Amino acid sequence: MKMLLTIGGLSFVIASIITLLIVRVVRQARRNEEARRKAEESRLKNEVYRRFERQERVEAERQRGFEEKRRRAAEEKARIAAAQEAQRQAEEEAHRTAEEKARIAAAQEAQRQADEEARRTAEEKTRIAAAQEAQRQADEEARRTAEEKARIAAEQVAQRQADEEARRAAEEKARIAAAQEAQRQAEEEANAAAETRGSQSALRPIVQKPTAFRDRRGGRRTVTSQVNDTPKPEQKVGVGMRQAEAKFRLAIDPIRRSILLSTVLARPEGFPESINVDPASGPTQAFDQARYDDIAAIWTPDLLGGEFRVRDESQQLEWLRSARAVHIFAATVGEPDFLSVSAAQLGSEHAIVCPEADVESIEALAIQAGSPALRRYPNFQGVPAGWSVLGGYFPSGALSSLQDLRFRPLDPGAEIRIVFIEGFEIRNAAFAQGHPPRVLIERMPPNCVVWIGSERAAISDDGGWQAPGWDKPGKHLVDVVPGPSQSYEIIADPAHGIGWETWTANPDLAPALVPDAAICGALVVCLQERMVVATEPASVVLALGARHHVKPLFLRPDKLAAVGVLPFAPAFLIVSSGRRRTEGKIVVLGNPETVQGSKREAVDMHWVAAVRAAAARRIPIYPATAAAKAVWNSAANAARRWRGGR
Amino acid sequence: MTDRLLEWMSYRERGQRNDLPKNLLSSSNPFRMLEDLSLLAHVEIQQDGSWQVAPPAFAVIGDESDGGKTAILCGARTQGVLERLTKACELNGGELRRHQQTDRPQCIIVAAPSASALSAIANVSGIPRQRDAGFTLLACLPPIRDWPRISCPMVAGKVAEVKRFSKVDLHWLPSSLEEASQAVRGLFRIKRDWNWITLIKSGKDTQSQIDVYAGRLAAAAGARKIRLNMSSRTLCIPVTLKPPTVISRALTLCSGMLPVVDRENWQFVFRDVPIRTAHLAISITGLRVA
Repeated sequence: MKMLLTIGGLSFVIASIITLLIVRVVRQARRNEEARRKAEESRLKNEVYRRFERQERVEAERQRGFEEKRRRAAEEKARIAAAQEAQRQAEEEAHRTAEEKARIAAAQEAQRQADEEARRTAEEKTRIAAAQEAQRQADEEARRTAEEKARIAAEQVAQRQADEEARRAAEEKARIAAAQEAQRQAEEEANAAAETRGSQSALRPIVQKPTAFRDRRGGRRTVTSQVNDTPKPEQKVGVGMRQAEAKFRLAIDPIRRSILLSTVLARPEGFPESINVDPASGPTQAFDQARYDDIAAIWTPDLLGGEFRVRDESQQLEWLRSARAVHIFAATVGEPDFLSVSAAQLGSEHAIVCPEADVESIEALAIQAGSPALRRYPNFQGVPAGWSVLGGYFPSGALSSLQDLRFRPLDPGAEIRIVFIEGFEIRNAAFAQGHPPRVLIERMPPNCVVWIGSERAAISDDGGWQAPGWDKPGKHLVDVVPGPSQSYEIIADPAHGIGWETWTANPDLAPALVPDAAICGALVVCLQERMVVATEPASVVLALGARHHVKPLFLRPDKLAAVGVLPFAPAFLIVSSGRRRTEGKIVVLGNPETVQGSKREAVDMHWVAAVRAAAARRIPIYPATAAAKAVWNSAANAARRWRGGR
Repeated sequence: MTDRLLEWMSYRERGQRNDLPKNLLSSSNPFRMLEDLSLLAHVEIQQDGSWQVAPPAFAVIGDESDGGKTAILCGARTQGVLERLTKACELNGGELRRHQQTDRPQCIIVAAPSASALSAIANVSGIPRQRDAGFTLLACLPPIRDWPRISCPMVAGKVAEVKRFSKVDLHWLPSSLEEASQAVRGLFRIKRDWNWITLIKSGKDTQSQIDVYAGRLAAAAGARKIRLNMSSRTLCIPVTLKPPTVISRALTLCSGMLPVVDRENWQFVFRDVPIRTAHLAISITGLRVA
């Protein structure tokens, strides 16, 4: 019994010891497990901190990258803008240069035409003068020839009379001699008949033929040679005479009610400094390189009726202005009052001097040329009888019908005009891409050629001029050769280029609640490529990236919305107001770029926890489509895989 | 014609009010036209009266709970934008719906089969989209009581006209500069030599310049003047309490159509406004539902 008790006691002791040991071992194991768990948690925390730091570094790197990208974009934009500006300036300069060249060419052409006109006028005058001179010389020659003929005839008559007289004297002398001879012969016959009766031959009478006188100088005299040798004083005056244009200056003084006319003599190259066309008034000095001082003209009724011509005989100079039916005066740059011109010009003021009989016709023509009604100057001093002065002639178009060609100088002539019609005009002569203008050229003579840019243009079906590339974006120059030019621009659609700028339109509104946010049109934009997301309010609202990033949204003060500025593109929103399944929802934002996520980065622990927590609650997914659920399930599976793989 | 005006403005990008071509303005005056274009999120009007066209954007109607697959085309609109959009819609099964508005640019709505398709259309066409545009715009705005204002000294000297906004009658009443100076609270509109200035008083010697629309709402804070019909999803605001442009724009972008003026009750009627958006708008304006 004792033995059994001893054994039982020992067994109890052993069992107690064993139990104690087991308890100790278990406790130690638990302590070890706790220590291991703490160590693991500490490691995980450190890992998370490191991950956060790495993430922040990556984020900072991203921000730097964004800033760098933004800076480069801004630089590129500035460079493009500078290049465009330079291009625009160059085009503007080229355009200005072309216009200036065209203007100079037009001025030179006008000058050339004026010179040509003056030259033609001078040639015409010279030709007329030469013809008149030739006529006069022919008349003189005829007169001289007639005189010579008369003189020769008189000489011949006198010669004939002299011959007749000589003949008569010779005949009388011969008759007397014959009578004397007959008397002598009668005496001799009487003597012979007395002396010899047989000798007949010695007594026959001798009859002599009277002598005829011939002046042989007449055969050597040539009238023609005498005429050619005759000096021609008119020809000697014309030879070496230099001609220039004479103009008139018309000064209308409405206060004194007087009109003055003066002569303005041109001074072409080579003409002297001083001329003397009116010895009574003394020499006239040069005013400038182009003309001499005005010479007061006495406006007589005949002064403007025909050709006007003045001469400096001593220097062999001559100025002339051809005869014309109406005299047109126009304002000239650098000259006071009105100077006479050959023809009216579009859009300029003119004064007209014409015979009184033509006033009504000219007034009708002025209205036809688009001019306001002409002004008359009745009873003004200085205007001779039979003449009228009309002012205010502003022709704005060509005369459509001109019956009396004497009034042709009143016609300003046709003007080529380039017109842009239709199209979608954004600015003056600038049209939207896809809506080019119709290029019309009015009053273009058939000998002109049209270029648009460097391509030759042709008339299209709609009547406008077109050339290859005429409707492409850029500047285009429509050039009529010969003729004017005009440019237009096709503005490129910004949608095909850099687009439109997003800017901070309401800088003081959004930042009051959401820092760095700005409203521009329908967009809420944020600096540094961050995004603003708003959704319905809840106690917890989380924005999640596709595989990384979690950020809670904050509630507005009125608790009617949750807003957040996210540094990443969100793929999901988790809205939770409680722990029940009905108190939350998952919103799949459905951005194809973000739902795939980046596989290069390590998985985000917070993202995994948030996704697993939401997936475990089985809260509804919006939108309730299979695609949205598939996206969410993909994310949830990714979170589970990482957890399981740990 | 106003579609042409919007295209013209899209090409010009910015300008002054007087720049608008008369032949494209139909019959309305330029200020009203610009204001309506701003409500439709096509342009932004600066404080100096100049305008600048906003970039093209999709204002998505509603959020993903509502489907989020329709969007309004806002901002600049040219032939190139429409071509790109048409092409993107063809690729992703979208549809362009055009709704005419009297004397205003037509409302172009992009309807996609899903939110992701709408997002794809936005990506292909290169037009950014604003998710739940109306709500997001409102969510970023401060309430009227915190609306930006600039403290300033009281106007002194000769003024042409002074008016006070009546909270009871909801319109402007004749007033005087002395009354404005002595008032502790209230909204005054003072015509100086060259312009009007709107001052809101917060004390006898404390006043601030404020936007006139925001000032009227601030003066009428707490008034039961808003009508909300949840069944028809319409929000009615008196014309005399017209909200600032950005708030009106947010409500306009719920449907894409300008508010209708109810001439019988003299109020603006914003249509298709989601309930949460309406609540947020009411909260921001500081008014209460009648």
